[in-house]
Amino acid sequence: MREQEELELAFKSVLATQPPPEGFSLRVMTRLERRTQPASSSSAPLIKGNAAHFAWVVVPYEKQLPRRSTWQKVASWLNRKQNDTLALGLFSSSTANFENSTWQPLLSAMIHALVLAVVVLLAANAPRVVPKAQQQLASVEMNLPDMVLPIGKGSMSGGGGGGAHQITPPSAGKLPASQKVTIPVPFLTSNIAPKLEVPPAVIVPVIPENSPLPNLGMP
Amino acid sequence: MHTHSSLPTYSETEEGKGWHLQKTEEEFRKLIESRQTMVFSIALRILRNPSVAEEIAQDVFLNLYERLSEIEDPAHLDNWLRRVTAHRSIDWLRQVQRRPETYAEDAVLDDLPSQERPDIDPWLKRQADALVASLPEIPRTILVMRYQQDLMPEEIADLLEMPVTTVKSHLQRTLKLLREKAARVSR
Repeated sequence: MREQEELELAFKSVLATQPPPEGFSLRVMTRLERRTQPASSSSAPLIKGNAAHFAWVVVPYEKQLPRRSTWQKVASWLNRKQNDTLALGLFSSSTANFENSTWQPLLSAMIHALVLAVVVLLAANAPRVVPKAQQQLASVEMNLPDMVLPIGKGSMSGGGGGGAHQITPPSAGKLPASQKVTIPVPFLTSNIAPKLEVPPAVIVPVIPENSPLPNLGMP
Repeated sequence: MHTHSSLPTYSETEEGKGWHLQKTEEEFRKLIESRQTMVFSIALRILRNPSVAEEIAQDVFLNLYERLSEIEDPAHLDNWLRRVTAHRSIDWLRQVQRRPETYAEDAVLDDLPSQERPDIDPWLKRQADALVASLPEIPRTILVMRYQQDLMPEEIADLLEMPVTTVKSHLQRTLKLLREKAARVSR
């Protein structure tokens, strides 16, 4: 019994609460500060300089704009500035680098026009003549032979059906011949010396004939 | 049940109802200190690795910081912390079961400062520890919630999102198994 009690105590001590190592809250707060602080100044030079037009690639998670609902997006689009409508033009650029340049949209338009012209020229010069090998037509006889079938004897007039119909009564068939077997006369059999499958476990003594006990149902 | 006297008060601010006071660094640090033992203990007894348990506990508190506005009262906070810690610990265990070579249970469990009574035989404690460790993650979590956190089966069922009957049968089977194994050990 004492061993059981000791074991129970051991179980309780195994499942007991355990304080975390010292400085736990400090470490959590440090991680929290790292999360909430803006991007460190050391990463700023990566964004500036010649790679300015790739700045969106290295913008840290904290700097990203919060997600907006569809309705907010629609509202902001309706309230956009007049200058922003240029970004929706077919040949205009939406990136910051191209906002103030005038030759970039022109170059873009020229490239688009060039590509379009090449496509149109290729389409115009596409071969339209079918090769002679495919022009040889084969003459096919389309005359069908006489397909009218002869009418059979006894056929009913009118549409549907076919062939000769004969009015024949259905056969009633024949009964199968019965086998002649002599059935023996039944007789009773008696087991003169019956034998039990399992020998009796308890042997009851036979009641003597001159027993004073009453004869209850015994023959 | 644990009671915490230094709870920040519930308030209604311009941002809406909730515990906005803890958003300050000092208030949130107090909140962590009031519940760090509970969160760390649950993670430690399920994971049995102090460093992983601390990492999970830190993640839980960082997650809590983002969801403070959703917490309604202290009881909800405790429930939320237990639930998230248990689920994260179980998820971690299931992840490492696919690559067991990267995880070592019991590796440094003995290095932790012990709060236990000195009259307990160390050999017996190790045996009991091994018996608890031999349990699968769900029964082990239920055992921790029942006998460490003093939760009722209904509360555990709500916490682990399973029927009460399942929790009770887990408890019954686990205790029976532990008794049988303990009887073998004590002989």
